[in-house]
Amino acid sequence: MNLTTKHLKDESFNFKAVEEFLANIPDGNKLKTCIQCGSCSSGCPAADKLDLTRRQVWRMLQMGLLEEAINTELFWDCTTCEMCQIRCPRGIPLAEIIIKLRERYNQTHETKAAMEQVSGVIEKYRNITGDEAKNRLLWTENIQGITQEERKGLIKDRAKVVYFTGCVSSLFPQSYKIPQALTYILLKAGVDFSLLGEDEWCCGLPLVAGGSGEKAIREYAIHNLNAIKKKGADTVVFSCPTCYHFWKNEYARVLGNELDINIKHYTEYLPQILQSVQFSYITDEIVVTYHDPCDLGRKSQIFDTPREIIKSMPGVKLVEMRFTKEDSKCCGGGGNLEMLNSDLSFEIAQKRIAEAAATNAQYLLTTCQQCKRTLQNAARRTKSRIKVNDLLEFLAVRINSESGGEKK
Amino acid sequence: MDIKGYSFKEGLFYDKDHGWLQDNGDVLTLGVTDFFQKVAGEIVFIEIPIAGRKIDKGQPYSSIESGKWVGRLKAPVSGEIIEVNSDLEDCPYIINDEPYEGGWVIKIRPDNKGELKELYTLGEQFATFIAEEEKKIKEGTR
Repeated sequence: MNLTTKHLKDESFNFKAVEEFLANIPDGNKLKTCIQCGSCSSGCPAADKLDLTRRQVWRMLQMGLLEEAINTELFWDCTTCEMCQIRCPRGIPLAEIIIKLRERYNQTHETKAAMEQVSGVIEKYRNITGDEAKNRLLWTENIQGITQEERKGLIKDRAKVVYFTGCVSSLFPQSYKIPQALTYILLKAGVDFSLLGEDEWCCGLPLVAGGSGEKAIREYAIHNLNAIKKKGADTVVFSCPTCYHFWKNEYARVLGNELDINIKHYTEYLPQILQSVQFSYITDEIVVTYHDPCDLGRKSQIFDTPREIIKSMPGVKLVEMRFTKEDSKCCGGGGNLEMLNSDLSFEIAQKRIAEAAATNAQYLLTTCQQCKRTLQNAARRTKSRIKVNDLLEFLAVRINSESGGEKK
Repeated sequence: MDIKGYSFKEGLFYDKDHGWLQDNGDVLTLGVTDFFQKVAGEIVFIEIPIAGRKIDKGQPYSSIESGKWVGRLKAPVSGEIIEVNSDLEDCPYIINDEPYEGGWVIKIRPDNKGELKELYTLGEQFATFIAEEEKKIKEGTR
């Protein structure tokens, strides 16, 4: 982007407009304290592919150049991974500012075609693919190791636990093995659980990431919460860290009250189950590395339980990548970036694959269906030999199927 | 045979969802056409169904992913899956390379072979259908 100042006039420096813009963001005024240290820019997984750096946009805002900042469109080339935010020494809510810039863009410009398509599909079909609701259960038709009766009983009127599957795992076949694995484990462990099936709606995050604003998702939060409460459940389990993060950290804020339900990602829920059931495992030696999904790690602070599950499997050795836990690099698949700029998404993903391959691990494990898809596609395109699995599918395969998973 | 730049194989049956079917007597082989794979682009994943499963005419029996696109493969006739092409699990791009040979998806034992009569064979009617489908793609309505 050309940073010439020739087009700037006195009225371009609109400090009042920036004041009003930041006033709608909790701690938004902290932006004034930005010292241009560049920590945000250097931490950004897309940094080397962008025309401008993140900090230049913050400086534009500091100077009252709101429209110029909007016109950079830099906030669309963002996975919303929040690495910039945790690196910021001033504690500026940079991720929220990016989302608000997207909202502001939609209010003042023609909505991006990809975003308009996504929000249109979600509003019409309540999912991200435009499938009819019954297709949310297609993945249940090919679960290895369960009976037809068990399959037919996956949707109950009443259950203590609901497994909220999420759009990507329900509708993108590359992710099917993830809900299939969790369903298999929950069934073998005798957990009283139900799916929502056709009653499940998108969690709403793609709408917020697309700049539709928080109000747009209120009806999604109400619908999903009611669908779970109708079953009398006290716990909702997620395999999607994005749905989990959204339920745990955003739904209460949007609805204005606590949800009065236990919200668990499977990495929090399974350790107790695995201990009580005592599955028997395949024991051949294998080396794996682990990729922390942004929504589970940085945004929800779950770093240890996935690693504990990995280490609990006999024969499995965990080696860490250079950037892990809070410093984990993004897979490139977040923030709707795959839809907006698939080339940039791939560039980010291939860097993470290279980092994983450098550990010499045989498997790259993660705990997110979107990370799995993005990284698996990058591994395929770069001809990397590392196998990308969600921890759930890896776990289900390691559970000794010949013994039915039961410890002899 | 070439129709509008898409190749179709003699002796097969075709349906409106761009699947093909080969009649081998008691067993039918199912796959997707050259039209399907060209419109979908590079296939990155296909769900391999479980052998022994029943499939119903017009209902999805497998799902497929290509880049950002997700599609469902629908059964042209009802029956029971007796064999699956497990090569596609690791190499889904075979569908792009050889949609009518190595890219077959499942083999089924049909419930009622009379359902084959409702499918297209190569001819004028099918050529018209493909021309209409191609027009929809150019107009962006498909």
